[in-house]
Amino acid sequence: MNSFHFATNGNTTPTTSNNIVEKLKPKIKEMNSNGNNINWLLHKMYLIEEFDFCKKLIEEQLENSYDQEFLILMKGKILRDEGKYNEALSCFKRTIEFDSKNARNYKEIGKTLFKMGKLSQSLEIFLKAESCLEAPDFEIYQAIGELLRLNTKHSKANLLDIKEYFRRSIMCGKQIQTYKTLASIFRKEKDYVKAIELLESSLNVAPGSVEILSGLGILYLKINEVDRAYDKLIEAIQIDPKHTNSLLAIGAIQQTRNEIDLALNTYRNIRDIQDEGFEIWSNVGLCFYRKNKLISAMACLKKSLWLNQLNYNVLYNLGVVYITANQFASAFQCFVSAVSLRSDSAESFMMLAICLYYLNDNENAQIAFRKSILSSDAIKNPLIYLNYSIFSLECLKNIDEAQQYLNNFYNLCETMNVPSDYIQIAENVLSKLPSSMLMPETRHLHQIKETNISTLENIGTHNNSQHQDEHVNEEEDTKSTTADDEMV
Amino acid sequence: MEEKKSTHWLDALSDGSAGLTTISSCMSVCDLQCNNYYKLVTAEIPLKIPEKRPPRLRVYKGNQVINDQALPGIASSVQSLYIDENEPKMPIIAVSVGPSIFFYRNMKAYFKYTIPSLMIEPLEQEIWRKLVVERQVNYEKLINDLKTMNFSQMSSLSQKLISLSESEREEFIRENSEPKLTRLSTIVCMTTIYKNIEEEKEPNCLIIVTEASDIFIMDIQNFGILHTARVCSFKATPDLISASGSYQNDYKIIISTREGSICILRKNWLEGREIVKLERAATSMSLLQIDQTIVVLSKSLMCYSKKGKMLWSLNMNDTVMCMCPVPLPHLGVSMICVALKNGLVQLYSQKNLIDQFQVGDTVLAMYFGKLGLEEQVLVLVTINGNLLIKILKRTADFSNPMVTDKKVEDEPSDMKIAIPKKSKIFVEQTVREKENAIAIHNIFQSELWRMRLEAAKVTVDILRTGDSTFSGDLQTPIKLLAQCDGLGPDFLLTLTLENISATKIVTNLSIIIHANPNHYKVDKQSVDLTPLVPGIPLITDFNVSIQITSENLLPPDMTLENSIIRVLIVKEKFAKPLIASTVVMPQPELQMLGTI
Repeated sequence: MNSFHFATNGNTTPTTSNNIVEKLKPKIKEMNSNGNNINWLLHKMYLIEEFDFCKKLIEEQLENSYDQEFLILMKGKILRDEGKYNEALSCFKRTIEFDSKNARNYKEIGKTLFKMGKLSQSLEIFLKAESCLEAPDFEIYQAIGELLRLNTKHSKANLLDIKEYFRRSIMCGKQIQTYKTLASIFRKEKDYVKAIELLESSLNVAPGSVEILSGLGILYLKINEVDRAYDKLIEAIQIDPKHTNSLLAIGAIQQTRNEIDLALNTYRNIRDIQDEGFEIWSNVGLCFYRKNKLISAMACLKKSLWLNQLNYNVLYNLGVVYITANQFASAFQCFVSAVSLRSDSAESFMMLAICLYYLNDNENAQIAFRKSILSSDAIKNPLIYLNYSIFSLECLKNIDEAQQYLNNFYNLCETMNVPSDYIQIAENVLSKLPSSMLMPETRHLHQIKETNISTLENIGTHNNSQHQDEHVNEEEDTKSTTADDEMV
Repeated sequence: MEEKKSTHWLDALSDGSAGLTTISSCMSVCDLQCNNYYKLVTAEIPLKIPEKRPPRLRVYKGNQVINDQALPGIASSVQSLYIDENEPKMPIIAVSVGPSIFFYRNMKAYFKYTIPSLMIEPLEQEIWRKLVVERQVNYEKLINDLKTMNFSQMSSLSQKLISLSESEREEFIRENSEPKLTRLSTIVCMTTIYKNIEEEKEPNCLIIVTEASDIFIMDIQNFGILHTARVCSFKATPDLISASGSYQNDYKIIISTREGSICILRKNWLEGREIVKLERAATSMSLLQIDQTIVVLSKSLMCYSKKGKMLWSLNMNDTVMCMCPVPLPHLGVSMICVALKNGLVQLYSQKNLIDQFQVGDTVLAMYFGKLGLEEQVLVLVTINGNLLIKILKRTADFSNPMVTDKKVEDEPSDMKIAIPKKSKIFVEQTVREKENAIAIHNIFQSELWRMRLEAAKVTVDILRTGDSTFSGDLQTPIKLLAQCDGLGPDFLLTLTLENISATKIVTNLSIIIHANPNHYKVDKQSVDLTPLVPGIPLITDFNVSIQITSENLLPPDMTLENSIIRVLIVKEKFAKPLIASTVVMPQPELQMLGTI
């Protein structure tokens, strides 16, 4: 190739002459000085994970260039990616010798310590990095928040709130992960409204994220906005028709709306249902129960119980199915377990009492009933008073108590919406009492007198099935919580 | 994995010996000789280190190198531009190396432009002014002053001075008695926009971005800077650039930084604005001309609006290498071609996978557009220097998303919920329970009580005899662990005593070994212990051997049941042992007995 002349614009390095070919060789050593580095190439090759090339390039550049900070930083990053944390740390420490005010260098040390599991040291370094910041850096805020969430010890007094760090990180970084973390903190604090707000705004950053949509759906369920929840969940499964959590929550909503076949269809879409959690099986079991397929219901609930032996709701549901199937001994076992899990549960004690009644153990049945009535939850379910009233009348022949608790039942009827079947049964009871102080509409009474007076047996089973409804509701709660946990 | 082949492409060329390694930004295709035959101009990126020969700038016509010349350094970008509207329209080539851009017309270098120097700190200037006049003894102090500055913000002259040894300094300073302090940033990327009319072969402006975050828009007719701007308001190092529009009307420049920011610069702005913050810096980024969305390739493929709203994202299965937009106006689609580390090249239209094929090697650089006489050509350069050219078939139809095999097997035709099986016994038991619920319950309850009674009895028994491994005495809470090693007839009995209280020290303890002397011989019958400190277990070893008869047999009255040793832990002045535990000794191996 011939040498040729060419013009320049005057802004030249001292070593440049008009003839580049002539100067080519002597320049090679000089080339890598300030302004002629190839850091950009190193960065590009690091991103496509050509680590071997990067390492050679760094070694070569370290010999030839004066400004080594970036080279050593990259060397440290590569070593960290290869799992050589201690060597990486010593590289990052050298970068601090070059520039002790650069937050980036501290950040890398902090990240390395975090990966090594040295959380408190990592937190100290991140706090140091924070103090060096010129412009907000979402990674540092997020790391501090995350470390504080892990209860890492630190020396700095009066730190900001964990949430404040995450909030700052969101302000400058808008990372989906941060949104999710902060939302999960709010959810744990039961501040559902704030969590919803946050996730809704994160949808602006990442529309169509299935996880966020399903998370939002579940949060809306928690604040009883069922329709909104349903919309979000449907949106989620339109994007991913196999999203387990969304399908589960949709099925639960359909179940509460009494659309049993629809719900079963929804569950059918769940991938690998065999390996899924106990919630699905519990819900599927309840679907079969509602379709009166008791054996299938039992099989599903048993599977659910096998997956999670200590879940109160599953135990309760299985107990109800057993009572319906007249398997009182098994039902008794279920309710005993349920009661030992939640000793304050009025409903479980009532069900236990009903079991005991059928098992001819009136003495213990009365104890269980007493526990149920005296529990603070008793006023939440009018059935408890009604059932006890019947029990007092039929078994204890204690007319006063029967009357008293029947009155309690009527008092509750005034404050809440009670199904008409309950009232009918109550009137049946009332008619058997010798004198009633409290007389509701008597025309009903007349009708019932004509029909056969319902015995406790009928009432018992009947009550249970009513009770079931509420339990589907409770079921959703458990479902949602697990779904939440997965999101975190 | 089965061979993935696409029917949409014609393999025009696959040159395994091209020996070309480059990156996407160093590839440019243009009608170099204005004969409508488009040629590939590329600057080599040497991947072999150490590389002795300087990198090359090459022009390819098909797979033939028609021009090959040396470059003064590793180029960061190669661009082809049109200067003016004079016929014939011959493009010039701009190659950025370090802080300079070399311009080539007809593949002859004719101009070198070097970007303006960055500001030199007054302190540094002051020090140099003193250095040239001072005597050698004072150098040390001045150089120490120089060292207080941030190293990367010094001129190369100062950097070199600091790294020199003391003896060399004097000569160096004398050589540079008239120091010309310059601080030049490296050009990291370049791109072009149109000057006036947005049409092919119309004059362009060159956009230059430096490592120090400066953006220059250059008029190449007179190499004058039309506009200078900063990438963003905070410290960031640019890495990738993509732009569209014309300088006269309106333009947008999108810059991606090493720190993971994506910034936008519009006409007349002096400073870019950050619109997206990525978790990991982008490997590749492009502003799509058709719908003006920004496609970013990082760990996943993401698409953002110019306001920074994520429109969609798609996870990638492997490390991503590079991407390029594939606009197909005649089909009305615009696709993105992505190359993965495992050699898979995929084409996406929005989020949908449209086509994919496997290349035997990892693709390092990609270009799609005109080449030769063809309109739609995909050029792939692999990491091992292969040059692959694929021509899109005119019959190619990309209207339907590709159906991958995986999706088919996922689709459940009419899947039913597999209810757990119910065995016959299960159903029978159900029936039995329905009939005999009360009896079952009663039997269960009475058995339960019986078991509780039994458990209570045993507990009381243990408490009474002290026969347990725990001491029931609250004053001296200790735990005993016994371990017996060996095959017999000699055993090693290791007793570990631990004080399980939090604070109390237990003193005056002794161990008494109580064994039938006709059966066992124990080396020491009793041991007085040192005070027992909480948390530190005390380990005592005993050698126990079986009293073998003269015929090498076990003692006649020794049975499985009575081969036990009782271990008593006693405290001074206490009549009752704290712990009275029984160690069941293993039976000796009979072979071992025979060998004795």
